[in-house]
Amino acid sequence: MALFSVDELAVSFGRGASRVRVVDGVSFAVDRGETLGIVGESGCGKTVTVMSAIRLLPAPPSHIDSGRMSLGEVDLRSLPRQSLRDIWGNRIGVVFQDPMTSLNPTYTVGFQLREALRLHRKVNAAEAHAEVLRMLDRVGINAPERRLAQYPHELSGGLRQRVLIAMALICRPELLIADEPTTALDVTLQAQILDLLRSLRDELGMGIVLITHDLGVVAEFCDRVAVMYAGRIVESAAVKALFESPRHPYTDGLLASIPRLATVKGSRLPVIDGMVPAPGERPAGCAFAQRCPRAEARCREAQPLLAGSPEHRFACFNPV
Amino acid sequence: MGAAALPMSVHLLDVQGLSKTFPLKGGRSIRAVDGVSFRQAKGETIGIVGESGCGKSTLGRLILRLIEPTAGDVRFLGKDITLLPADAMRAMRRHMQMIFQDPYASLDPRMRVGDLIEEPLVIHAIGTRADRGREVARLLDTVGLPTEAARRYPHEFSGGQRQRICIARALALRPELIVADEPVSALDVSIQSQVLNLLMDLKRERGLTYLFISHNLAVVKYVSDTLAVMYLGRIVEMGSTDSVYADPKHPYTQALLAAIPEPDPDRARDRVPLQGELPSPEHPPTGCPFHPRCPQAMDRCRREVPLPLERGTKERSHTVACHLYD
Ligand SMILES: Nc1ncnc2c1ncn2[C@@H]1O[C@H](COP(=O)(O)OP(=O)(O)OP(=O)(O)O)[C@@H](O)[C@H]1O
Ligand SMILES: Nc1ncnc2c1ncn2[C@@H]1O[C@H](COP(=O)(O)OP(=O)(O)OP(=O)(O)O)[C@@H](O)[C@H]1O
Ligand code: SF4
Ligand code: SF4
Ligand SMILES: [Mg+2]
Ligand SMILES: [Mg+2]
Repeated sequence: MALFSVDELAVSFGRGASRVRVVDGVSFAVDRGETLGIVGESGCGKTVTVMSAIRLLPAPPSHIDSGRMSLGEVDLRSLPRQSLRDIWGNRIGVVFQDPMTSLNPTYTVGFQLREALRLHRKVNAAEAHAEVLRMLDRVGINAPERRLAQYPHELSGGLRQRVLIAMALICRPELLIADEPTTALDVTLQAQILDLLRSLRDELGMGIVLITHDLGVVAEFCDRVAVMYAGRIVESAAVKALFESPRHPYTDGLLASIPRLATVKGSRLPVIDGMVPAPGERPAGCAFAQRCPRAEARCREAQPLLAGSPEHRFACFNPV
Repeated sequence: MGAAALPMSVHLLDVQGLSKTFPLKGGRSIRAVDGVSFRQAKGETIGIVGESGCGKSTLGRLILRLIEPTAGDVRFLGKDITLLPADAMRAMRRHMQMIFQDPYASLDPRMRVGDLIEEPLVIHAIGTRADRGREVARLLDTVGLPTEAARRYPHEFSGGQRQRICIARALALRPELIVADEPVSALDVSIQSQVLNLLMDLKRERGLTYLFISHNLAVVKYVSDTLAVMYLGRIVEMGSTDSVYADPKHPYTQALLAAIPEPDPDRARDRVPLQGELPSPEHPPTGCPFHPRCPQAMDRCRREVPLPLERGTKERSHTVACHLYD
């Protein structure tokens, strides 16, 4: 059984006539020790998908229209709030896209980490203190004693990100959700943080869902990847397969358009024309049809469903 | 940079010993840019890379004299612009424009796109109203937007389209030099290549000279003829883009290149990441600014500041500031 699985999730916002479906028919699964990357452009639904799946997205305004989500044997969809609180921060650790979601500017780093631990573990003050120091040390923070008394705004970007990871991992979760954990960081810090996550994943045997818009990060860090476009997964595969033989025209275009170190200077970059349709303005058929060089008449009429082999799925009538 | 024999006119821009110290509260200060020198030929694109806070934007703003330098000078077309009085500087600014990272913040949301693009022409009292209208239409066409875009407002456009509007506005005065500060960083991946292609087309068609600031090393490699790597306010390595990427000399440049995540799962994953973070420019390390993080630091690195030395060939300049090479 997969550690974390999501099946046919659909999420909308708003009520009545202004109700808009932003995530539709999304399915994926993550095993223990495995890293799944979710990539896609801004607004395609990455955060909504994953946060809804663990029921952490406030509802209302969001609404889960359909879907089954489970963590091991636990059915997350039907779980009452009280039981969810026992899972969040405990069995599921979360690194939020906005660091200030999880760090309170008015409390010290040490206090917040101790409280995060004591919420779920019966430990006395001394044990909590020791465990917090161990975790700060584990995420590569030098002189952790000194950091305990500091406030979040007193930390550099790299240190703050390490503290966020320590916070998400303090209860040694089975599943880590990391939403753009390195986007605000420089490449050298990004490399440090990804190395850290990799070794913690191997040590704790956790499954990781990593949300990013950076295909380079996916290639370096993930085992499998799901590409989202306009609220749906349009392609999913093992990382190697996806990068070597992308089947969906969007994935194909995206991979072709990024400049790489090997790109010849000044040569024209392939482009994907047009822009992503807003959630309320998605066309009836394939959402990529207006921008797709391979579009056919039927693409504008029907919605292509995910097909292919279980290892490599893509939603396209005329795949590459 | 080994080019002292070239006649002055070859260089559009000549920056010497440029420094900027920002005063902080309590008598403290930050040296954001520290003795930067380089020359730029007309039509040459120089890419500037380095970690957040190393002084890239400050350098760009100093060159356009949007802020005043603490020391050093900037010669543009042979004239030291740091000495120009305000009105002469305003006239000079026609020739030097900036494109910013955030296309959302740099456009006044209450102005129509046409008026935004026309504004620089109005400020410099160029042409009649009708002339300016025609010029706006031409500029929109140049950046690949329809003429009717002129009547609409910035919020009706996507990020990539807004960056095109910013580019049209920057081009209105037909500048020689454009400082592009992270021009594609805020854009979605599928839009970035549209804007990069546009910038490269404009370079070819108009002979534009770019100072291209970015933390994305693959993007910089794609656009630049020459690369300058900054660390804590200084240029630690500079040379033709090809030679710096093929043969990075400074340990910091080597670490930076090794850390780039490439969209290629077969690329060796066994790099050793650089440890530590950029030290605060308020308390820069003694000696070589990179020594606390440098895997090859020696005793003298803690004491002596390495100076940039020419280590390239006659044809291709390649300077590096590191004791391993002196
Ligand atoms: N509270 C909300 N009310 C209404 N719409 C929302 C709300 N939160 C998100 N949305 C919409 O849902 C869609 C998906 O948003 P989501 O945050 O999941 O995107 P994302 O893929 O994570 O983007 P990014 O890369 O920018 O973080 C967007 O179009 C967004 O505007
Ligand atoms: N107006 C200012 N007052 C005080 N300090 C400043 C000011 N502007 C910049 N600095 C400081 O100068 C240093 C260099 O900043 P700068 O913005 O030039 O860096 P950068 O390389 O452009 O970074 P980024 O990649 O994050 O844009 C930083 O430490 C910054 O905090
Ligand atoms: S279904 Fe049609 S429009 Fe959609 S991606 Fe495939 S070919 Fe293109
Ligand atoms: S001068 Fe010394 S510390 Fe600085 S980069 Fe060279 S070897 Fe490293
Ligand atoms: Mg998001
Ligand atoms: Mg900057």
